[in-house]
Formats: sequence, structure tokens, C-alpha cells
Amino acid sequence: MRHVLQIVWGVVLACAGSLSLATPKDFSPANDSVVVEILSNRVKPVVNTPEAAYETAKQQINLARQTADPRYLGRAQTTLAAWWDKADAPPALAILQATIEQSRHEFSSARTTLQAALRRDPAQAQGWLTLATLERIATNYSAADLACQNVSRSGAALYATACQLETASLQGKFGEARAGFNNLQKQTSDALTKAWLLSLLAESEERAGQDVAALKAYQTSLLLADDGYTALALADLLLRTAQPDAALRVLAKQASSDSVMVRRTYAYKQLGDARWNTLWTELRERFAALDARGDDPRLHARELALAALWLEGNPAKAWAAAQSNLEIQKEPLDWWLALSSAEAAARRDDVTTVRKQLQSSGLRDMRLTRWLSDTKL
Amino acid sequence: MRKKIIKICATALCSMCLLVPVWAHKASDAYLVFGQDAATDTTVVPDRSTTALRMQLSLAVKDLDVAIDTLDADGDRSLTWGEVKAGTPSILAFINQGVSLSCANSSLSTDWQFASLEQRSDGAYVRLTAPLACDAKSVLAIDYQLFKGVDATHRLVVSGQLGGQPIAAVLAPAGRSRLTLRSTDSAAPVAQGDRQMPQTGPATLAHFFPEGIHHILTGYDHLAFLLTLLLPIILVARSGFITLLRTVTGFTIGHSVTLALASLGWISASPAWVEPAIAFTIGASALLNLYPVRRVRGDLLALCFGLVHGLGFSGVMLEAGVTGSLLFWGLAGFNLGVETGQLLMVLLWCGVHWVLVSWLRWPHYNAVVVRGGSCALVAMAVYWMVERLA
Repeated sequence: MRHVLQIVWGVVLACAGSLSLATPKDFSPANDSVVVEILSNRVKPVVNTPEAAYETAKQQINLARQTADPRYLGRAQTTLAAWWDKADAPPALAILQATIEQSRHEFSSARTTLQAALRRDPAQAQGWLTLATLERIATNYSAADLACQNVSRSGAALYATACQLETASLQGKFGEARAGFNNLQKQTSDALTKAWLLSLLAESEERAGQDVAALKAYQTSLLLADDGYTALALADLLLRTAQPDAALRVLAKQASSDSVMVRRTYAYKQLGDARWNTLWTELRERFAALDARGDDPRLHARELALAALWLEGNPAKAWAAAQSNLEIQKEPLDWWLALSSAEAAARRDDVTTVRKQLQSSGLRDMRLTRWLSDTKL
Repeated sequence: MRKKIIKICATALCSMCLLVPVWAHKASDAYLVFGQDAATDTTVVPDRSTTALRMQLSLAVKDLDVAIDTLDADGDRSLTWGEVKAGTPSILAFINQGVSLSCANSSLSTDWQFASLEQRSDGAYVRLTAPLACDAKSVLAIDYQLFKGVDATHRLVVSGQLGGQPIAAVLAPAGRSRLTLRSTDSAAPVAQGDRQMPQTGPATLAHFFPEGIHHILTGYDHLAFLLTLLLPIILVARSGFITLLRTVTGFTIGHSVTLALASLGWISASPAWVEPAIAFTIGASALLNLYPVRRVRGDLLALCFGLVHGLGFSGVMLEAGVTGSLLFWGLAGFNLGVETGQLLMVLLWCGVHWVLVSWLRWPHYNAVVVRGGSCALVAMAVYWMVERLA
């Protein structure tokens, strides 16, 4: 028995010793046919005309979406280099630039780029839709409504209506949104469009406190078309309602972005599965790599805050990150994150300040009811 | 033209409206590390005028693929080890046209070689290594242009040690692509501000004293060896203390001798065998704790194995590039630091030993601490040895 204990202890200490080493891990394949890396589809960089550059950049942006790898956004930026930040750039190319900026959470540059492009060509429906999204993220609901109206002027009626319904739903008009989204679904037979409308409906139902309806809408949407954003939103619902197993199944197919990784790790932690520690180590390595690169930490603050709150159990750190995150985006999750972490860190004054901001923002969400009600302010 | 784009845009509308920020992973990075490389360095140059420095450059396979069309030779988008090996000459040519180093304001030809594949959080990387043949007192600069026309957000993360000073900088091929790594007459990299190497004897001693403490307290393998030596000593009678003194002195003399000889350039040793040998000394001593051999004396063992550890320490002094009379002061400071750190460890162990043995009189001390600890150290040593030989 004593010997067994000695061996066990030896192994434990040796493992502890090996943990402090590592990163990055060297590897040497056993033979020539071992696959070192799966490469994404090659995008032929044609940039000699605006049309060709548009097509190339669009493919690169799509690659970034599929792989959750922002290096393809950098490549798309290079494709657009001749027109990037240029006042006379073709509006369609400027809108792609804004899309890249938005994807990197550079919301204010995205807005500036879009506004300039739309002044030159107000018929760009995609531009108005993206602008409406940016305004909603900033809780500028009347500006969002204005952008939605401009979508309808471009003739994209279905998109314009969906845009208006989402803006209305964020301000608490849940019944109107539900009826509207269901009606729009009947007008289209395209699976991708249906999936998109269902994901908007699902989010609206979740804000309305209708978790069962939301769950069903998310699931139907994902059956029609796999989409990373919808999968993430569904995983959040499942984690919130203590179904980590189901959350893991939903995320299984998704590319391992930091957002996906934070949720997978949290799910394993909730399950008491030892894998959570491995994932948490990987996530910390990723954060360290971001830091070494010198990126603006505010652009990744949402994931940093979620990790600090869920994984590290460090509400003070979570609050610091959540606060700077709230400066750049104000979606329901961002409010929840700021308020939960400020509360957990016992920062009463900060809770009061954020509550006041939330109440005057016009956002209505049943998940935030506790902080939206007037009591104890 | 505009009409056509609007048309394309309209067809794209549906797929694009799903585009909402989902990811927040890092963009494309390459890593350049300066310093001594235990894993691949086989040439510790005894000549003091050129420091035995190496550079390691890690590039993502995904990035190399877009810059070098022929890398995925069969175009099946699965890059095999065979394809990487066959593509290595193109990779080296690619680096040579995009990474330029200059020494004393004239261009420095760099002999990059493939070192290893490595796995990072965003995929597989190819690591290349090259000796840095630049006099420790010359201006050293880099211009980094890789992936310039490919990825506007690509960055080179520079780190490591240059002239005993840490270096940290980020270069952007499309922006700030040039960096003076070391300015004139000082071993200090510009990126770290104007920290210069001390120029007087006492100042050199004062500089290297904390380096010595830091080196022993963070050098887990030296600490592990010291612990292996201490474990079997029982401090109950006067003889116990004498054994302790003789053992620690033996280790000190051993590593001081080789540290001095290596720093003076009289002997040289490759980390390729020193590092595994250090792991071996730990394993062998721990095994001797478990199965003592009558003829082998602890203090003599400490002396002999100490010689190996001294070679391990010498990397710090070689890297710092201290020369002439200052080397004596540097060595003295570093050694004093190492001894101080070592003494701290011994005192800590004495404290633990006193609590467990003299105060609590724990009956399982020998089984758990001495034998169990030695088992653990054998396991750790085997792990390190395998890792360092791999």
C-alpha cells in the first residue's frame, strides 16, 4: 500500500512539473503522409478591378466566418487596400470594409465608414442593414429605425420589415415582433432566409422570457441552416437554464472561436468534467497570445469578462472587463455581464450607475428584469 | 460598373445579413525569439567576440500556404509532413526575401534552417532557427516585410533575451516594420528603453547578483537536484549538520568551477547534452537515495554532478557577453547570487525538516518524504530526460 502511494505521489509531482513547461508544443510527424494542417479553400487574390476585389474580399470574409479565424479578415483588408478608407471608394467596397471592421468589434470606425458610403449611394440595402445592426448594438433605437426605413427604400421589403421588428422587439414590443416574424416566414421559401428570421424570433422570445418558444425557434433555425451566431445564442440559453450537456452538443460542430471555447469550458465546468481544466489552459494561452500581439484588449473584453466570471471566479476582474466591453457594445448579454459581475464584486455604486444607464437605454429584456425594475434605485 | 456591384450586392444580401461578429480569436502572428536555444543549439561558440546567440522564427502554416503557392503541392488542402519537407527550400527563400537583419549598419546574411513543427492555439507552425553572427557591441536592426501584400493585420511578436536584457516588441509589415534591436555600445535593446549594461566592476557584480538568485530560484532542475541531495540527510546529531555542509559545499565548488571555465571560454559544452545530463544527475542521485551504494559519498557526488550544473548556468553569462576584467566581477556576482538562492532553499528545507522530524516526530517521514520524494524525483528526471532528448 505504501509503495502504491509513493508511486501515485511521484506521478502527481511529475505531472505538476511537466505542466510548468510546454507551450508551444513541438511535434514531429512519424511519416511523410501525416497531415500537419487542414488548409481552407484557396482564394485567388484578384484585385485589379473593384468587381474582382469585391468577390475576393467576400470569399475571404466568408472563410473568416466559417473558420472563426480573423486572419482571413486581414487578408480581405489587403484585398481592399486600394480602396480602404478612401473617400471615393465604390460604396459596395466601403460596405465590405465596414463589415470587416464590425467583425473585429471596431464599431465606431464601421459606423463612420458606412455613413460616408451611404451618403454617396443611399441605395445600398446591405449598408443600411449593417448600420441598423450597429445602432442597435449601441442602443440607438431611433437611428436603427431610420436605417431600417432606408432598407425598404432600396426595395428589400422583407429585410426592412425584419429590421424594424428586431428594433421594436429590443424595446419590449414582443407581441408585435412575434406576429411579424411569423408572418414574414410565410412570405419566403428560401431556407437561409427562414433560418435567419427564426433566429431573430428566437432572440425576441428569449428577451420576452419565453424560453420554451425561444428554444424551439433556435433549434428549427439551426436545422434549416447551420450558423455560428445562432448556435452561440442557443448555447447561452442552455447554459443559463442549466443544460450544459445540450449546450456542448450544440457547440460541437462550431469552429473553436474564443466565444465558443469560453462556453464549452463553462459547460464542462458545470458538469464537473475534468476536460474543463484543459480547455481553460488553452483559453488562457489564447488570451496571452492576444496580449502579446498588442491588440486593443477592449475588442476581446466580452470573452475576457465571461472567462473571469464563469471560469476564474474573479468578479472584480470580470467587472473591469465587462465595464470596458459595455463602452463598445450594449447587447443584452453585455448588460447582464456588467451587472452580474458588478453585483458579484459587491460594487453597489457601479450596479446603480449601470442600472440607470440600462433603464434610460430603452432596452427591455426579461433576463434583466431584476435590474430594470424601479425598486431599490 | 456601379449597377453591376449593386446587383452582386443584392444577391449577396441574404448570406451577408447573417454576418454578425461571432469570433474573437487572434489574427495572424509570427514569433521571433532571441536567446540560447537548448533544444537545437549545438554550437556554443567559445570565441568571446561573438555571442552564442540564436534566433527562432515561427510562422503559421496557414500563412505560408497563402504566400507560397507550391507548398500544398497536390492541391488537396491537406498539408502533409512530406509536403512541408519538400517545401522547406521555398520557405527559406521566402524568409530570406522578407526578413533582413543588419549588424553595424551593414546587411547580415542569415543562415535559416528548419528546426521543428510546433502546435499553437491557432494551428501548426514551422519553426526555423539561425545563429546570430553579430558582435555584442554592434548596432543590430531588423526589417520585417513578410506577408506585406497578403495580410494587413499580420504581426511579428519579438521576444527573448539580447545581451542579458529582455526584449519585447511587435512589428507590423504594413506599418512599423523596422526595429533597432540593440543600439551602439550597449547591450541593451532599444525596445526596452535605455537600460545599459553596467560598465564598472562593482556595478557588474551588483547587476549579476540578483541574476544569480533569479536563476537558481527559477531553475527548477537545479532546485530539484539540490532537493535530491538534501532528502536523505537527517539533522539530528552534529554529524547530520556536517554532512549537510559538506554536500552543499561540494555542489557549490563543482558548479563554480565549470561556470568559470565556460565563461572564460576555456571549455564549451552544447546544451544538447548538458540539459539531458542535468536531468540524469537528478535521476541518478534520487535512485541512490532509494538504493544507497556504500562506496558512493554524497558530497563527492554533489561535487561531480555540480560540474554538470555549472555548465548549465554558463549560458546566462555567455549570453550577457561580458568580457575582460568585468567578467571576473560578473562571475563573482552571479555565483554569490546562486549561493544565496541556494542557501535560502537549504534554510527552507531545514525548517520543514525541523517541523516534521524534530518537532512532530512524524513516524512516516522516511517513507513519505525521503523515499516518496525520491520516487517522485526519479519520475520527474525521467520525464525531463526523455523530453530533452526528443
